[in-house]
Amino acid sequence: MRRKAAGALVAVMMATAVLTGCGSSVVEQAQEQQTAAQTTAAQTTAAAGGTEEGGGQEEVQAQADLTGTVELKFNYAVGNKSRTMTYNQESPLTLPDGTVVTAGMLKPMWSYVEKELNSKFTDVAVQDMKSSDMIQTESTSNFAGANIYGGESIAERLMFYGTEGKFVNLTEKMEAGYLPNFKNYLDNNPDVKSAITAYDGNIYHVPYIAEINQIGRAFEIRGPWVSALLDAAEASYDTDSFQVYYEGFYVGDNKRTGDNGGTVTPKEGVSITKKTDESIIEIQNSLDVKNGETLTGALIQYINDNYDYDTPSELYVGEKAAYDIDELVALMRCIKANPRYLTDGKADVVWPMFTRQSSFREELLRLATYFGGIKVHGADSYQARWYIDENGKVQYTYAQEGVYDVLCYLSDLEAEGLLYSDCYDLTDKTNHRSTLWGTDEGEAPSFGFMTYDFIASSTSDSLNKDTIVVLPPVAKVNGVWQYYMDNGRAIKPDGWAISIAGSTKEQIQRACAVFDYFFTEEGAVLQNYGLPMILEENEKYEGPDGIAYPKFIPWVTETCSTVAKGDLSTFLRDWMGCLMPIGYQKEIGFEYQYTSERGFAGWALLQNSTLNIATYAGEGPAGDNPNYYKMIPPVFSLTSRQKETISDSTSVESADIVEYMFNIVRYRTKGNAPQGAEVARTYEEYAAGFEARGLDLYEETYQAAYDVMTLGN
Amino acid sequence: MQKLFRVQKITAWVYTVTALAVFLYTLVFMTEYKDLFGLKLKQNSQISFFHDSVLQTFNRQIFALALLGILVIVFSFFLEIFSKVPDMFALVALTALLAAGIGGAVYAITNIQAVEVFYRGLDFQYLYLEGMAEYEHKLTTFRVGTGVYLLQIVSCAAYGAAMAASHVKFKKLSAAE
Repeated sequence: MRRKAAGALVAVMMATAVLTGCGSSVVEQAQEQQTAAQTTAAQTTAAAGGTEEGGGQEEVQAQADLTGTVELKFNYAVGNKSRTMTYNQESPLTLPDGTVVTAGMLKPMWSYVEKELNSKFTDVAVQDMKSSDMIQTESTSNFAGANIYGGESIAERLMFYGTEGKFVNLTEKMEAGYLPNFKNYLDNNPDVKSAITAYDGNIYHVPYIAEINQIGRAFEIRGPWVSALLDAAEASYDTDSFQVYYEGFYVGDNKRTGDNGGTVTPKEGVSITKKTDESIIEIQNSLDVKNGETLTGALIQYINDNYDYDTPSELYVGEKAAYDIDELVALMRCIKANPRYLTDGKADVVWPMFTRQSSFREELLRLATYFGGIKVHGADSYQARWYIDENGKVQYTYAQEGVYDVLCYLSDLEAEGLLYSDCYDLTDKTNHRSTLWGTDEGEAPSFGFMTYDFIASSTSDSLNKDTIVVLPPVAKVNGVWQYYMDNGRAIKPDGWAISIAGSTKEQIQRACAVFDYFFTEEGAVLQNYGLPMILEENEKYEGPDGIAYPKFIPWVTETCSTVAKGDLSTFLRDWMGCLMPIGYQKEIGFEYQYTSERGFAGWALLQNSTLNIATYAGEGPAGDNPNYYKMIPPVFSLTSRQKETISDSTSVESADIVEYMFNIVRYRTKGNAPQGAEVARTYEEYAAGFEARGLDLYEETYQAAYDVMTLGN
Repeated sequence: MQKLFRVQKITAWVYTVTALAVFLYTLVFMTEYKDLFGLKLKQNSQISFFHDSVLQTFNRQIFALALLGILVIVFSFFLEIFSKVPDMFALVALTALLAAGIGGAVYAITNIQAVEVFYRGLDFQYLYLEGMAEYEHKLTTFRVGTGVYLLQIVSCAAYGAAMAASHVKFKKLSAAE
């Protein structure tokens, strides 16, 4: 018994000695373990045909080899069954070569790619599922249900799960020779590369890249209304009383005259000088009687006194337009005060400014640029609520005092009825642009004047033949008087990634080939324009920018008119399967080809002007902030710790924050807030609302994420 | 003889308390460095290595040593050291275990110093990128560890010496009778 016990003791001592690793320090032991683990991992990867030396070459060869058919499952969800890979239209589509596409089949473009890459594509998406819900659901099964996952506004999720090892590391694949065309694209577009690189220095998804360095949206108006108001010899203006609230931006010490915007240059060689320091807002506000007739008369008089235009409407329309935000508000007042005159008696109410949908209400905030260059969105997305200050630090725009001031100005405009009152209610899914521009000849017409939206669709002949593009208001932006739109086209937070758990080696290789295909010349044309059979073989379309683009055959416009009311974008997406917001660089060429003559004139107006826009390169007239013109990345790659910090300790991202802001627009001036609506009466109160939501920590966290991006990993 | 036996009992209890203290120390060893858990950025990879590999490995080792110390307590009860003079087998067995305990404590102290040197050499300037501003070195665990293991060395040596003295005296007295 005692001998056995003694034996046990010796065994314990020996085991202890082994456990404690006598002979080397624990630091050395840990380093040895790490090295051993890395070697094992490398050997495993190489054995699986991975990216280590030796295996890489084989993979490149395998990638080029498309002889074997490989099945790929796609889970591309966008919350709209018409926009998936599957053809979900009720009526079949007959292609120019006689092929008939029916419900349940892959859309033509995907069938084409399937054949080109010798693959078998299966769309496994729940057709109406939203991208975010899909990602949430699939994350519970490690994304094992498909090979490729994609959707809208999920880039941050794809990056995060990529760093967690759920999606294929595309950086490694590119280093191994995969995705050569995508790699080449990134090498030529370092801004894109930087924007999609996760915090660990790797790329896990291929984004949808809109027409970067192009104008995003523009101001469009009913052109004839301006000349009817300002240029008509004998007009029978309305005389209903009009109440004013807005007191003007260019007033007091900020009067626009002399060095403060007295002379501006809308186009090279064209200078427009405002002769006096008069404020049209002060003039209109001081009128004893305020109605359509007096307000308009005052505006006409003001234009004639201050500018040398042939006709007063030139202040707003055409290449010599040089109106500021106050002059725009003055015009809006005239519009609002003359509903019967402008509509030939069809309406008692017109709406000077509206957004296409209530869910686009943040577009109203873009007017902030013209109140002294206030930044609201650092990129195209409404979630891009950051700008980069002169010290290279990210600043949360929504909490800035300047934004609060803009909300107060907008509240004044709202009180005057200048903003469409249905724009705020998110439960309202109506297309306001169709309502206010597309019902002129209907039995119950509604009328709007101005919006801020995409040029092609806003100037479509099928919508309204009176809409035209105008230059934006002139303003002191970044300390420089200029024409500026803080809305360049951007890298979108949309894209796709390759699942690890759901894929074999062959499927990963083929998925890489699919991703890369859309960065080849052929693949890019396919996504942007469609099948070769719907493009002219030997003809190109020359855009207003002088570039030759693939040209559609007449079948496209004819079929598009028949099935999609002439909306080419919708036709290509919902019927043909092109222009899917995943993994490709979008071109402007398709949009040009369904732009009306008025739209073309609009493009030409903007392109020939001195207009500046936000870009990733951030170039613009030197001013107060060297980073002013720089767009922020579409998403910030956050670590799990950072995500926890934000979700546990802040609520800045909660949906109610936008409501909190729009409560100011809706109720502050009129003081008509319903019970329970929180309306900040002062900036201190407004800022306190953000502080209570943990703004400081939120900013710190995003600053850290931005620093990681700019440190370059 | 009575005096020596009392010393044996006291050192046995002191050792028991010390071994339990060492065991508790190994349980809370990582607590002070929990902030360093879950770092993801390349800039902080050395800190991750420190936390996930160096500290975790060391913690596992000292935990095993602490179990050895607990085993000594169990054997002490099993061999009735708290109530009797140890016979030759008990003396040899426990002395061997206590010697291993001393070796383990020396190993722990040596490595605490090595770990501390590595820790002091880490670059914490990018910790703010992961939500930790102005990180300060935390050395309490190392200091306490050094103290605890020194105590363990002393208590092991005293316990072994007391048992040996008690055993020798008892043998002498028995031989005289």
